[in-house]
Amino acid sequence: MASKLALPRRIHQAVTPPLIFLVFLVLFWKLALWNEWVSETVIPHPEDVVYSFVDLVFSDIIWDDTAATLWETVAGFVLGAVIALSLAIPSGLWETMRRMLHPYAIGLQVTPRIAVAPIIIAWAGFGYSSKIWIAAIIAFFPIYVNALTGILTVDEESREMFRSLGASRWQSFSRLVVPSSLPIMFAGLKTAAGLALVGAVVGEFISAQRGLGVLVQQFSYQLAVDDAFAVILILMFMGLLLFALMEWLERVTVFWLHDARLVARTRRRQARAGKRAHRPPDPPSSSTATPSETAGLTR
Amino acid sequence: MKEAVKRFDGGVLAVDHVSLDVRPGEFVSLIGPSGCGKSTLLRLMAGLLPLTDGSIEVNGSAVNRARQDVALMFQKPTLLPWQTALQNTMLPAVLQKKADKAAEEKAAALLELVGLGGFEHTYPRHLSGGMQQRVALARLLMVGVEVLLLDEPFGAVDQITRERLNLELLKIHERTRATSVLVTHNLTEALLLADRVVVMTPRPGRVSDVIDVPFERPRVAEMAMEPEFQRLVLRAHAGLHGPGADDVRSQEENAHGV
Repeated sequence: MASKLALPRRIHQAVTPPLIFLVFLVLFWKLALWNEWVSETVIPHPEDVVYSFVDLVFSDIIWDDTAATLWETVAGFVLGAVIALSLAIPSGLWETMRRMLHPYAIGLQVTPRIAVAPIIIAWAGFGYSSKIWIAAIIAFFPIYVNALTGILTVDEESREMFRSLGASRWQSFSRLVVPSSLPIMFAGLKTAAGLALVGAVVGEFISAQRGLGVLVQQFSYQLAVDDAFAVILILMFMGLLLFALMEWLERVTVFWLHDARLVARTRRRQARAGKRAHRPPDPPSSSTATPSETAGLTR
Repeated sequence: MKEAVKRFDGGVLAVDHVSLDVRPGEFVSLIGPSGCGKSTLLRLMAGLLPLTDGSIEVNGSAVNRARQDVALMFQKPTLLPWQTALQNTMLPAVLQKKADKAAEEKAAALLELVGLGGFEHTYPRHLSGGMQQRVALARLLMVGVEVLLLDEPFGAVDQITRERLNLELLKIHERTRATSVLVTHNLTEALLLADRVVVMTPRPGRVSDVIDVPFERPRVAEMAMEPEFQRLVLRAHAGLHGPGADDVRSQEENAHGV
């Protein structure tokens, strides 16, 4: 019987422990409700959350709100990233620029940025644009700091190596600085993707016609806690989706930190080189010239 | 190099009136304790640092910026992790916008020369420390330079690999006859590879002794066992610590470790 249930080991290890925890969580949850440690009006039954979730997902109304929040988050993230990168790159390259901007970047970091959300709504109105700006402001900082750190921590000997090879400023930037700072930059982008969602929802709390934040608020005021929980589940899936997207982007872009991708690339290149070598009937490479002679090194 | 002086901002005198004449095709080792300015001297020769006073000439023209006929190799391999061994070797050609078919063939031949045939498409992450340093060596030779400046190139690899790489460096030097300056703090390595060993003392960096190494080329590792070799080790040792130093134990250690 056990063999029928056998899953691949990797999936088994990833899925089973969290499932066990979920079982305990639900049991404790039910226990708390049965014993009336908490009231049903405050904490919904787990199955009610599931029913509400299914109802919501199959109703038409939820999709408009989901799309609104998703759009605010993605647009805010992209806007924040564009601003952060266009400030971080010159700051990384020119010290004067860095000195000029740094105090303000720190100031923005220590200010609770949510506090400016009402002002932004006053400026940009109740539509999407105000939420996009709030998401952008919150997403800005981790991208800025990580991109700047990435640029500033490029290996000094590699810089010297590029200089000694006569690389131009642009070559050093595009061939050394940008790729070297990508891994750290992606750490910032991943954090920022989650924060952009926070910004969008906070913006919706303050004032909006549409969005999952609006729904959570409405359901909570109506004490429809099971529906409120269901909306939070949707928000969680949205966050997971964004995070997975960033993870995937990172794996593709920063391929040199992932063994499996490196092996695949090596194989592909070898196969391509092998094909090229087989097409023309080349004489064996060790015909007359020694490697150093072909390399033009022997004097 | 004439009366080269380098004083860093803040007043640290790193190189104090060092004069040195390296003949074409010669292999010179610079040896001295940490902080004696030997790496600084090498960077001055490479044109990566500006001179405070004096002058340095390579092939009859003054060094005042990074130049194409001089190549520098670092203690770390400084390979680009997102590029294969072949791509890394081709980097000098790419930066000169000469990355054509011929350059690729030359790079492949150089990888073969440093014993990395078959690893052209492997990424640095999947190469051992010694192999990475070989790729760096191939990249160095790719520049097609006449002067090689080596800053403790094998300082970061293990002893066994280091010995093997040193012998390969010897072979490559014998083949290419590129003028080479090696910075090291290992006496045996310095003597094994070089025609002349320049002994430096620290703070400020000065030349205390220049030792001619009379051994015939091609050289072999076994020459480290000969009495003449041991005598030179002792002489270099005296140059490093001053004539009064007779710390027998450390002399013996230096004589036996490569």
